[in-house]
Parts: sequence; C-alpha cells; structure tokens
Amino acid sequence: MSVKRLAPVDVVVVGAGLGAAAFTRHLAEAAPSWSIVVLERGGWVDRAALPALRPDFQRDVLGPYATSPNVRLAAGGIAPSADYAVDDSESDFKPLMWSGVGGSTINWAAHFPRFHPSDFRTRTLDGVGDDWPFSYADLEPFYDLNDARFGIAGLAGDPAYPPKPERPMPPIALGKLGMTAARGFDRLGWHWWPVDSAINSRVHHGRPACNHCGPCQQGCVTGAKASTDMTHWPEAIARGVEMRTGAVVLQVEIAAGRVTGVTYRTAEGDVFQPAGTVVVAGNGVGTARLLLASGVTAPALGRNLMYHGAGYVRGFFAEDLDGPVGPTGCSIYSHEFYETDRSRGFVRGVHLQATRENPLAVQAARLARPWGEEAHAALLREFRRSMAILVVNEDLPESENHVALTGETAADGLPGVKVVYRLSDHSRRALDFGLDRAEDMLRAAGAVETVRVPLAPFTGWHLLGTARMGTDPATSVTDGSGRVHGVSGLLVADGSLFTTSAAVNPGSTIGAVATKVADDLARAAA
Amino acid sequence: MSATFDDAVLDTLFPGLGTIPPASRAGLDASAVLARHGPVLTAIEAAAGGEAAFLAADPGRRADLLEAVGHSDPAAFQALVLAVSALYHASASVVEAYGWVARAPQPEGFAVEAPTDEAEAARLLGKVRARRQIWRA
Ligand SMILES: Cc1cc2nc3c(=O)[nH]c(=O)nc-3n(C[C@H](O)[C@H](O)[C@H](O)COP(=O)(O)OP(=O)(O)OC[C@H]3O[C@@H](n4cnc5c(N)ncnc54)[C@H](O)[C@@H]3O)c2cc1C
Ligand code: SF4
Repeated sequence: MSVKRLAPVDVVVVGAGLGAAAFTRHLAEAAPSWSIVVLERGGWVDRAALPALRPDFQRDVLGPYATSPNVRLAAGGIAPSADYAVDDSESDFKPLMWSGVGGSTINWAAHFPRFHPSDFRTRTLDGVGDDWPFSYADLEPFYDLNDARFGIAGLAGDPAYPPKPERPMPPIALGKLGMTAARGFDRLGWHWWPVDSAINSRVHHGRPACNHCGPCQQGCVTGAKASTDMTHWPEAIARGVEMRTGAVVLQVEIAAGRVTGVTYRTAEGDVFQPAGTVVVAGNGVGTARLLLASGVTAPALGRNLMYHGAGYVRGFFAEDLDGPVGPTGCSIYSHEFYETDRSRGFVRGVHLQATRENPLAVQAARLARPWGEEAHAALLREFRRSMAILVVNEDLPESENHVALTGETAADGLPGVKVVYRLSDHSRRALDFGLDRAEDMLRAAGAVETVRVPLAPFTGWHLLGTARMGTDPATSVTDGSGRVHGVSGLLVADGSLFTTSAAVNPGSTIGAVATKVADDLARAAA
Repeated sequence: MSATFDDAVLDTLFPGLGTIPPASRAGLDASAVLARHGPVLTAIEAAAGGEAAFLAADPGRRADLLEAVGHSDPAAFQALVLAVSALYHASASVVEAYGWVARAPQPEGFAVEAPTDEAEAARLLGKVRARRQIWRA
C-alpha cells in the first residue's frame, strides 16, 4: 500500500484522551505559533445517541456501552469508540477504557482526587516503589491550572490534603446514601469528606448542572460531567490545533535516535505525517503498544503496569437509600487509612469510597447466583437499599506486571496487545485490611448485612506506569518532563508516565502531569 | 426448538415472584439472545432427555437440569444467564415490579434528596475539619 506524505508540522499528538487534552490545551497557549496536529483513532461522541436517553438503557450498560472494550466488541462495537481487543486472559483486572475524542473521560466517573504529597516519595518515606522525579509542590501549580480547566465541585478545608484552591462549585448532593455513609464514618471517629468531582453541581463554563440521572459511565448526555471533548479540546481547537479523527497511529518513525513523524491509517489509506516532536498519549495500554511496535527499546517500556488493587464491601440497609441515581463514584470518601502505619503489616495505604447504586440490571448481574428464585429474593433485599464501599490500595510497580505485543497483527493494523497482571501479596494484605475497615464502617452506618467482594475484576479503570518517569534509563522510560530516554523529540503525556500509582484515581494527576510536560516542552524551546 | 421450550427455559432462569412477572411474560424479545446461545439450549434439551421431557419436568427439576448444564460449561451458561438477565431486568414490567420507574434517565434526571438536616452534615464535617492535617508532609 502506498503511503501519502503530508507537509511537516511542529508537534503530533497521538490520542485525544485525558493526558493528550491537558497537554495540547496547555501547549496551544504556551507555544501559540506551533503547528499541532492530534491523531485520534476514534471519533466525537454524539450525546443524542447515548443510552441514558433510551428507556431500555440498561441493556447497553452491559453490552455495547459497557466499560470494557472487549465486552463492547463482543456486543458488536460502537462507532465513536474505535475499540481494539486486549487479551486480558492473564490479568486479574480487566482493562477498561474509551477510544475516541475525550478518551476514557467519556466513560469515567469523574471522581477527581489529587495524590497526597507522600505519594511522590514512596521510596524515601517507606522504602517501596520509587520516588517521582518531582514533588507535590512542583506539580501543585499544574494541578491548580488543570482543575480550573476541568471545573471542579468540592469543598475546601479537607484535612487529608494541603490546602487547595476554593472550588467554584459546591459538592454534588450527598443524598441519603452519602449522609448514611457520613454517619458511619463519624461514629467511628474516622475522616470523611465530600469528593472533589469533575461534575458540575451548578451551571459552570457553559455546561449545565448534573441532574443525577445515574449512568455516568455510559457517557453524560447533559454534559454536566467534564470530559475533555467538552472541557479541553474545543479551546485547543479554537487556538489552532488540528484534530484528525479515525486516525490509527501504526508507527512512530525514528531515524538515528530522533523522531521523524508518525505513520497512521485512515479509511482512505496510510499517511506519513512528518513532525519535529511526537507526543504519545494512548493510555497505559495504547502507549506501550505503539512504542513497542515502533521499536523503542527502553527496558522498562510496557513493564510496571499498575491498575490499583480494588475490592468492595456491599452493605444492605433496612431502609431505602437513593436508588440508582446520582453520579456513581462521586459521594464521600475516607482517607483515615491512607498514610503508612507499619503496625498494619503493610506500608502505604487505602482509599475508601462510598459508591452509589447501579441500575437494576447491573445489580442483578452482580449477584452471587444471578438466576432462579433466589436471585429475586437477593435483589429485592438489596435494590434501593445498598451501598458499596470501594477499597482502593496503592498498587506498587512490579516489573512482571506488563503490557506485551501478542505477535499477531490486529484488525487495526497494529500488533495485538495483551496485559499480564497478578495482584501482589502486598496489595492483597492492603485490600484485606481495607475491606475489614469497610465492613466496620458499613456496620457502624447501620447495614444489616454485608457482602465482601475481595477482588473486583471489572475495575481496571486505571492503566498506569508502562512508560514511567524517572531519572535512570534502566528503570524508567522518560525523564521528569515526559521525554523518552534516548529518542530525541519523543514524549509521553498520559497515565503510562506514573512512577507509582498512589491509592486514588489518577485523572487529576494525569492532567497535571501532562500540563507540566507541555509547559516544560514550551520552556525548553523558548 | 419450540417457543414453548424457549419460554420454559426463560422462566426457569427468571421465574415470577409476587408482582414480578416471569421472563416469558415480561415482554422480552429474547429470540436473538437465545439464537446466539443456541448450544446451551441444546445442552439443556440433551440433559433433560429431549424437549418434551424438559417441558414435563416440574420447576425444581428444570432448575436442577440448568444447574447441571451450568456445571458442565460454566462460561457458556453464565453468558446465557447474563444476556437474558440484562433483557429481563431492563424490561419495564420488571423494573416497575421492583419499585423503580421505567423511563429513560434523561432528559428528566432524578432528584437526590438533600439531607433532612442540613446542619447535621455541617456539624459532622466540622469535627473532621478540626483535625487540621492528617496528610504526611
Ligand atoms: C469506566 C471508567 C471510570 C473511570 N473513573 C475515573 C474516575 O472517577 N476518576 C479518575 O481519575 N479516573 C477515572 N478513570 C480513569 C481515567 O479515565 C483514565 O485514567 C484517563 O482517562 C487516562 O488518560 P490517558 O490520557 O492516559 O488515556 P485515555 O484517556 O484513555 O486516552 C487515550 C486515547 O488514545 C487513543 N489512542 C490509543 N492508541 C492510539 C493510536 N495508536 N492511534 C490513535 N489514537 C490512539 C485512544 O483512542 C484514546 O482516546 C475511569 C476510567 C474508566 C474507563
Ligand atoms: S449523573 Fe450527572 S454527571 Fe452523571 S451522567 Fe447523569 S447528568 Fe451526567
């Protein structure tokens, strides 16, 4: 097949997800004269086609709009997410993502916590993982910038964090579920706080307030939930960035230790886009896949895959809570056990998060025995009366947990990809501790029964660490500015940069780090 | 396989309970799902010793037969169960029988109740706020 050659540009960004958006939005402002092209394999979401507008939306939650690309593909695939299959047969968690403009912010829950300062120094403080090449204080201005670009609802004064800027919107309504959880934490004397969420609790930045419809992870019809197709890309495009959708990047072209551009596939054929700088932001799976396919040889590339260990305790209450309404992941959380306490038998900590109920069909699918008369009895007992406490622990970087190429060519033209991941003993101990605390809390909150889910496979929301930052090329892929060691002009700007994972959702930190990467690039060129 | 057999399997998976209708009367169009999972239905028929034998069996025996098929090929059986479950629990009559409203979540959305005692949330938060710093510098 002949390859069409285009005129050169200054910067090509691969992917239009969270990291790519934060990077590009910032670079377009910091280096306004640069020509920037974004290549995204998927398309724009049509909000009028999202499931929440259909009475039978629940079917889509478990099929064509599931959070797993493999499940979506099995259900026939949907146009705006240009999914690729990921062989997850050797992974305890199943990777979840969205491949289109907005990336995984299209189906994220928009819970928006920051890392703690200690999360950047795990080696120094606790002798595990590695220190990041910069500190919380270094990243803080970029957290603040990126927060403002997303638009955050939350409440100042949380003692679990250094002071953050005043949030422009109050927290999402706690509802009965949030208040019940708050009372539980309070009875035990534990920390709790309303989460920071990238969801409008009132009209903000031209987007409406959340109307608590429920299925955030199938895309937000109203646009109340921030996703970068609404928050970052329109502004970047207004500043001259060119977005090309339906463009699967097959290869980062490298000659004599320097990038020359990328080759990508469109419906019309293959194209070579020359560029001085190539920035890969395809997430912890997509970035590793592309860089491995491009012959980048950094020993840490694809290694140290971190998802976060995750399990639940589900509590059933005698009285009705709110039912399947409100943003699933955005209620209250506790960091009572976040920082290291060696008497627990492990270092680092756990995050506890009260999560809202799912639609009936999703609750039903999670029953231990999901059919027969017993299923009705179980579902009647829990529907509208349940709360799950999600336990997330700090997943430490381990070389054996990795992303690899399968050796076959996939339907999109790239090599097939697989993830290999086993939950470590460290994570198991931390999760078990967190699950015990979640049970304590649910009982204190008045739950009449609790059910423990020690490991929840479909929680592979966070794809981190496979092109990690560091100072040593033997153990890291990029430096602290996202520049790939040994390949001039090649950068990474997404979740794969994470040196360690902390025990909180990564979105806010991905955005801050990608903003910093853009800032460093613009400064270096100035 | 006859429609009666299909209905009997569906109702064994999701029988009625009180006001909750059995799957065959919940207004599902399960034909595509059943076609996709045809081998599981064939296995159920074979385990029963034929379609007529399955239809003649009482509900307890039918459930035992499904259980046995589930043991011999758990992945295939689970896939059938989850596919039917998604259709069944999304059907308006089932959602309503569970006490929920059967409509699209949008554009109306839902109300999330404010705490009955606004002051309570503030009071509880005040106690947490007073802890000043629990993060490690
Ligand atoms: C269901 C779900 C819920 C989540 N909830 C939360 C939450 O509440 N809070 C939180 O902080 N995080 C959450 N996350 C995680 C968060 O969304 C991700 O961590 C974040 O979006 C990752 O950003 P990224 O830039 O690394 O990659 P992504 O946002 O995944 O973007 C990668 C983009 O690259 C594109 N791409 C990949 N390869 C190529 C290629 N070869 N050519 C062209 N394009 C390519 C993809 O199509 C995709 O659009 C959730 C994720 C999911 C799936
Ligand atoms: S609950 Fe709110 S944020 Fe979530 S999808 Fe509905 S309107 Fe959007």
